[in-house]
Amino acid sequence: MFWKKREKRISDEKAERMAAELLGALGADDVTGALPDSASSFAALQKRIAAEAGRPSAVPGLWDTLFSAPRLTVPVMAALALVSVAGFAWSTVNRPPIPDEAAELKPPPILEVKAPVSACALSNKPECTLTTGDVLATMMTVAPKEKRR
Amino acid sequence: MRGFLREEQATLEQVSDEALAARFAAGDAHAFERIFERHRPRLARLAGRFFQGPELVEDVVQDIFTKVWFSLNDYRPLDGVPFSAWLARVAVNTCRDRLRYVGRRPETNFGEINESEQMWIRDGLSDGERGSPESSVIARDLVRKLLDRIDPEDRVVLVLLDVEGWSVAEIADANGWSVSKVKVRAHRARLRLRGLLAEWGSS
Repeated sequence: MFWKKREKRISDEKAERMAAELLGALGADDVTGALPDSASSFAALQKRIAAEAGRPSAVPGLWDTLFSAPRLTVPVMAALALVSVAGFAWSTVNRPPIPDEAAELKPPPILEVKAPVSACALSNKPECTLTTGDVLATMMTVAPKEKRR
Repeated sequence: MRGFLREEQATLEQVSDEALAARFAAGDAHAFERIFERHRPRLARLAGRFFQGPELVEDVVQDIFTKVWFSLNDYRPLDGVPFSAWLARVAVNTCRDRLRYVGRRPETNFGEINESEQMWIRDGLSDGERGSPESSVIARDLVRKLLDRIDPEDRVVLVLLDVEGWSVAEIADANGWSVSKVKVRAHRARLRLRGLLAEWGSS
C-alpha cells in the first residue's frame, strides 16, 4: 500500500513543469475570435435584459416573504380583533341578571379528621384487622357545621 | 445629425468607465453600450478560461452584462473602487457561480481522459520530448478536463493566478476573500492538479 502511494508521487520539478505547460496551453486557447460580432451580441443582450426585467422572480426572496406575509395577515388579524371586541361588548350589554342566592359563595364542604388511626391498625393481630371502609368511616366525616345546614 | 452622432460617439470613446457608469445611472443607455463594447473582449477571454465552446462563453458573457445592467446603479465611483475592478468582481462571481452550478448538476459528465492524453502525461513524467502542434492540442483539451475535476473555487484561483496573471490581492478583492484564503486555495489547487497528473500518469 505504502509503496503504491510512493509510486504515485511525482517530483516538484516535474509537477511544476507539467502544470505550467498545461496552464500555458489554456492561456493560448483564445475563443474570442469565434464569438459573434459585438452588434449582434449587444442586440441579444438587450433582449435578454428585457426578458429578465419583465419576468417576475420565480422564487420569492426573503424580503418579499417578510413584506408579503404581514400584508396578508394584518387584515385578517384586524377582522378577528373586531369580531372578538364586538362579541365581548354584546355579551356585557345583554348579560342576564344574577340571582342573589347564586351570588353567595358556597363554602366547600370541610373534611375533618375525627380520630387518628390507633396503633392497633398497624398490628397484624386478627382482632386489629381493619377494612378500608372502617378506616374511611373513622377518619373522615362531614363537619358539624355542614350537618347543621 | 450624423456628424453630431459621430461627435457624440467620439466623446464616448474618450470618456472614462467611471464617467460612463455615472451617465448610465443618469439614464443614458448608450453609455452602457459603450461599456459593453469596451469590456466584452476582456470578459470573453476571462470566461473562455473557465468554459469551453463559443456558445457557452457567449452565454456567460451575456450573463455577466445582464448582472452589470441590473447592478450598475449600485456602483459608486466615490468609494474608490475602479470600475474595472468592480466589473471583474461581477465577472469572477458569475463564472464561479456557473462553475458551481455545472458541477452540482447530476448529468454533468467530466470528459474522460483518453489514451493519447494519458500518454501525454506519461511522456511529461518521463521527460519525453514535446513541442509538436498535436501535443499542444492535446494539452489544451487535457487541461480543461483536469480543471473540471478541481473544486470550482480552487480552480478560479489557480486560473486567475497562473493563467491570467492576477495578483493574490486582486483575486482576494474580486472574490471578497482574504489574502490567506486565496493562498490556501491556490496551494490546494496545485496539489490537486499534481495529484491528478500523478494518478493519470501512473494508471
